[in-house]
Amino acid sequence: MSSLDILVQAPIFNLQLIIEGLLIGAIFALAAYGLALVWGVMNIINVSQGELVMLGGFVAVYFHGAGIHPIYAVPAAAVFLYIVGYLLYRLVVFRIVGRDMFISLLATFGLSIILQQLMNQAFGSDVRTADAGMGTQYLFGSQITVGEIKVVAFALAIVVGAILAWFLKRSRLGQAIRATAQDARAARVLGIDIHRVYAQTFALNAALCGAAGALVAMAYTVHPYFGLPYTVRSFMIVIIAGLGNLPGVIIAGMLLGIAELYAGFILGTQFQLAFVFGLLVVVLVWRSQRLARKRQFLE
Amino acid sequence: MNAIAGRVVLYGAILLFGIAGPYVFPAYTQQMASLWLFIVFALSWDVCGGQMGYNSFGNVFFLGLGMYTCAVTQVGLVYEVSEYTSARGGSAEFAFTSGEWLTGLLLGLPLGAVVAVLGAVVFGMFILAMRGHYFAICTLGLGIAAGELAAGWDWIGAGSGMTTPMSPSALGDTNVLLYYLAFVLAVIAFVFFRWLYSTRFGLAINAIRDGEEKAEAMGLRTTRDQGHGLGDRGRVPRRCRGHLRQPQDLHRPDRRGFLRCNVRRLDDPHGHPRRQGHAVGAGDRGGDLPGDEGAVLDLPARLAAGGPRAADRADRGVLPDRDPRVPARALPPALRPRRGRGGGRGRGGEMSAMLEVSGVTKAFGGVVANDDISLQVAQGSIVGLIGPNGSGKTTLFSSIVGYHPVDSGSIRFEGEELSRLRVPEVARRGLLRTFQQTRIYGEMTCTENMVISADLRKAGVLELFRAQPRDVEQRAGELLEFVGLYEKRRERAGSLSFGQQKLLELAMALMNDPRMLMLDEPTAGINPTLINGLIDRLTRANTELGVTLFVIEHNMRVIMNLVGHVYCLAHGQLLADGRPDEVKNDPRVLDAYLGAT
Repeated sequence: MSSLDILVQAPIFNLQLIIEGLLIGAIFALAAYGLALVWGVMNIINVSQGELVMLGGFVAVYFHGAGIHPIYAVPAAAVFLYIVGYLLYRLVVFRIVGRDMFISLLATFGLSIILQQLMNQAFGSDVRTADAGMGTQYLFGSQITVGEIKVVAFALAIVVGAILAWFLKRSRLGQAIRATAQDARAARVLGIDIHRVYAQTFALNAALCGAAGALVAMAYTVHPYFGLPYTVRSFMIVIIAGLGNLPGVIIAGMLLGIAELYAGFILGTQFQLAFVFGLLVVVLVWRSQRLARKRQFLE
Repeated sequence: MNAIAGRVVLYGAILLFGIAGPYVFPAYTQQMASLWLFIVFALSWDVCGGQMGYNSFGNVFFLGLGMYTCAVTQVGLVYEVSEYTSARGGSAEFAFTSGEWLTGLLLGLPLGAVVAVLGAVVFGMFILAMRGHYFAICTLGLGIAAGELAAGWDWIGAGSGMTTPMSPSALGDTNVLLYYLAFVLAVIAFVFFRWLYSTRFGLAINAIRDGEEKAEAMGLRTTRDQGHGLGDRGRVPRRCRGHLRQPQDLHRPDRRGFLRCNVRRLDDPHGHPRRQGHAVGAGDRGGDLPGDEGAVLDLPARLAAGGPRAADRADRGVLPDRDPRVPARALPPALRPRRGRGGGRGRGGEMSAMLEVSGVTKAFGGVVANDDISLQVAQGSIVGLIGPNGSGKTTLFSSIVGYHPVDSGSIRFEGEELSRLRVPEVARRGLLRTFQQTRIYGEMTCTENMVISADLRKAGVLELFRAQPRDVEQRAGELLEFVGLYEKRRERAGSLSFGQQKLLELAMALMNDPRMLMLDEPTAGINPTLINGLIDRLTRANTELGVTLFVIEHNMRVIMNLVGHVYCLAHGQLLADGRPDEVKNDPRVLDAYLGAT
């Protein structure tokens, strides 16, 4: 394989892949954090997670088209998606809280298809980007190139994640969310309006995805059909890290980013998504085999 | 009769429509072909999602295997596949002779099915260990990963896919030909699944859906049965899929072509038994167990008259018509010893320990549920286990039959170490348990519950696919009679009251022909009159069927009347053991129950 040869002959390319992987991995981790939040609090696996990211991306594209610098789209997308998430909860998601998990898979899967088709109607299926007009840094005698916007996106992803973590830990609502996650019934008995908590959780998750999506649109590209891979990446990251493990999510996200870039480089970019989904199967099989070795009834 | 006539009319109309369709609505031949194929998809999804409780998003994977196999076979018979797929973009025309085309189709269809089944078997080995939503998401990933792979693979046309060649005009209209293939496939699939659900296999997958835990506790190797389910699922749709020719829709891998098929049982896909039972004694059909308590009370008389059916006939004033060649049956076959084991209650008799628990400790976090427990159950005996709530009785049962690992100690059953075995393996050695909260297959009838519990420890895979042998159903009826549920045999088990479900669970356990039965509060929820009958039946099961019993019980009257030896647990420790009357008057036991210090 010639591309493998390149990696061996010119080790500096490894560094290129690793840096790129770390930068994109932080954004994966952001979406995964939101997925884990909804999963942990509401016991719903939100299959439309990737579509929320995609919506955020289109907010940035819209800003770019309107002549506003897309960096402002990050908070704007968060606010917009917060509203979208709240509405989605009040329209659809509240019906599936507490039901069997397969229902939530089906319902959010349906949501994801609707959102994706809506955006296809509104913006067309072309691949878009929101050019932030930033330059490229050349490192090591220009053997490595790093887009400045990617570094900015990485930093912003970390900031947004930190804000949310702090919010969950310190704020009154954050405490209510964490209490509901531990025992919804006890929370209700103690006077917490759990449907309000659920709505806020889902809206916060959407806002998180929106911010992530705006970052993706600036640093990479966005199109109406790129949602599902983001959902699958988020799911995989949460499976590997475990629910409620923030450092684990960040590390797993970055590892996934690196693995994906290596796979894309070695197998060819046309197989990069196949690698992502294949990896999902492998991770799930690994998980079930690990559980099956215990003498226990599997949930 | 009306139901049968209606069914004949319905099937006849469908067949007629299927056969005449292309001539009546020639413009819609292709759409009607899709209709039959969607029926096949729905059937195949149903076996996995509806019957087995495994909701798959990844049927498209098997679909793709079949499609590409068939297309590659058809093309590859005449051309290099790569030559064909690369030239197709340049609109080169490829002509097939009739013979080539037919050969390609006849070879491609079965080959597509075979490859899809192989794919299902290979992946089934890995992914069937998953449950619920993990399975759903994994199959989602599998389907898309395969689609992405196909979309990147130049040899099979990458993103633009493959088009199977048109049939030569000598063979007539391609659409009509494919329509009939699809129609025949739908009929075959329908008949096949009808047959499949009539076999033990069909019952087994329903049982797993309704209560996997129970199925394992009864010794069903759940993943094995489910593996076949996935294999079947691979088979039928594939065969058809190979040749639908709407290349713009179906052969292109870059759309997410999930099969949005008939999704059944949305509210409860795993079919956890929905308890719709009513309070014991409340009125379902004029009272709980109408006439059954009577059946308990005069059981000996009925048995003497030649078995339960004969007793029924006797009730109706008809004398039992005995075959003179067969000796009068003092007991129905269900109650005769079946394995030639010695019966006897073994109170102080033979002291060969059948079950030997020594030094078992089990802690959940900081709570020591069982602390260094040692006890023995002799072959053929009835042993009780008592103790206040939360004293670790059920934990001990669960440790014995393999629900969780023990921290230390050993559990031996007939000399064999159990503590490392898992639930179905323990069950298959003849050590069964029942549950405090009943576990039955709520969506199935009582008889089906019984039949699926029959002992098939030595049965091979092939026997799964035979129809139920008559004698199994016969025995199921006899055991249902034995617990007084014969009248309810056709009812949904989930509709029984809690007490009746406990009786059904007991009958199911007996159906499995266990060597030893561990009962978790068999009389909880059963009315006092029936408890007498139950004690009698348990005693009979012990003496006449030779089943060793190990019983958790709170009801002291039951303990006094049933068991020969009793162990008392309190706070996870073994407090006392001995004859029931000794233990009952033991001051430590009284303290434990009454809370004195």
